[in-house]
Amino acid sequence: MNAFAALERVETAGVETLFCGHTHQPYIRELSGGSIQVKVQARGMKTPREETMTLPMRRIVNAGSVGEPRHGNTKATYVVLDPISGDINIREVDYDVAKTCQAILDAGLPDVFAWRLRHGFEYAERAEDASHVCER
Amino acid sequence: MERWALVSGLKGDADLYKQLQRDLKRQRGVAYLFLLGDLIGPDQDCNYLINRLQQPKPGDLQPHCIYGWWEDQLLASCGYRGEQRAQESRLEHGETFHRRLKQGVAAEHLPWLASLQYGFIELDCGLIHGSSVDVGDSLDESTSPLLLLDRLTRLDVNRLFTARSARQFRLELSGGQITSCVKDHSGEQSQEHVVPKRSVIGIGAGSEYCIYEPGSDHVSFQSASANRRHLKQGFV
Repeated sequence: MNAFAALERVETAGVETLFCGHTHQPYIRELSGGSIQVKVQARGMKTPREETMTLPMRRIVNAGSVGEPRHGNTKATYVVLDPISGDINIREVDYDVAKTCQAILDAGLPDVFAWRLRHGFEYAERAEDASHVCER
Repeated sequence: MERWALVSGLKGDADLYKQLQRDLKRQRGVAYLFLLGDLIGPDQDCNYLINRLQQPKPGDLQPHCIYGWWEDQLLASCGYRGEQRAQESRLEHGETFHRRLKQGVAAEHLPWLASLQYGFIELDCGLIHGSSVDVGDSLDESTSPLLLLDRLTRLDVNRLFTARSARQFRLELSGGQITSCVKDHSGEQSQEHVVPKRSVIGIGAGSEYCIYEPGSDHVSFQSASANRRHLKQGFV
């Protein structure tokens, strides 16, 4: 995502750090050292006004997911925030993936659910709808 | 060189529209007329203007229309926007204004208003009543540059022409940068992003409009009423 657009989302939320999910891909993104220079002309102004806006440092953190991994391995992910220091760490947890995959198959769910869990990413061509494209 | 006229906020005023058409005839090279919404409003009987927009008089510059905030409110209150019921105009202007808006537009014109698009993309320009976020998004020269850059980025255009604020301005993003550092399970990556040279242009409303020359990227702010006064006084 465009860095300025990402910063705008955090600013619109009115926070210093925006935690999100949805993509199942854990990351910590720090946006810093930003500025925007503008030249403004309005009706009635004799000369354009030039200004520089200093942008605040902000963070976007995606917690990843504990199921349906899409970050390239089979581990469950989450993040831990230390509210005192502000440190954020991505945690990865191993578990018995084979057992969970077998449970998916035993429950009669589509094979692709187990395949996805075992490989850590969504393989669109293996989905039942071959026209499905996974966008992220 | 080919030029565009960008107009908004006629609000049903057919006399103003005739005056604008006369004014545009005096402007050299204006090949396209874009009406960026608020064709209707609560203060006039809008039917004559709507008829003329649909069936231009001989010699009129052909208008290319999109819908604006007032059209959106009317269409919402008439069931064209699903569950929305024009709460915004009721809160902002009161029930009386809202009733007058409905009385000023014949039901036969609703399908035409409902067929209008949200905006146009012409060359690398976005033409929208509000912004890429909402028809009611009011952008002006005091809006945060970060927010303006976001509105430009969402549309992926170099210039965004907007009308909702009724202001005439050009805000050019002329420089800047930001550092984006991403940490994930594969490591850490840092990237510098620079601000693209892009502009947001407020076209004004009513008799105040904008002429844009895509070939030279030149914007000029016009006032049909001022141009008319100058003509009478022999300035042009």
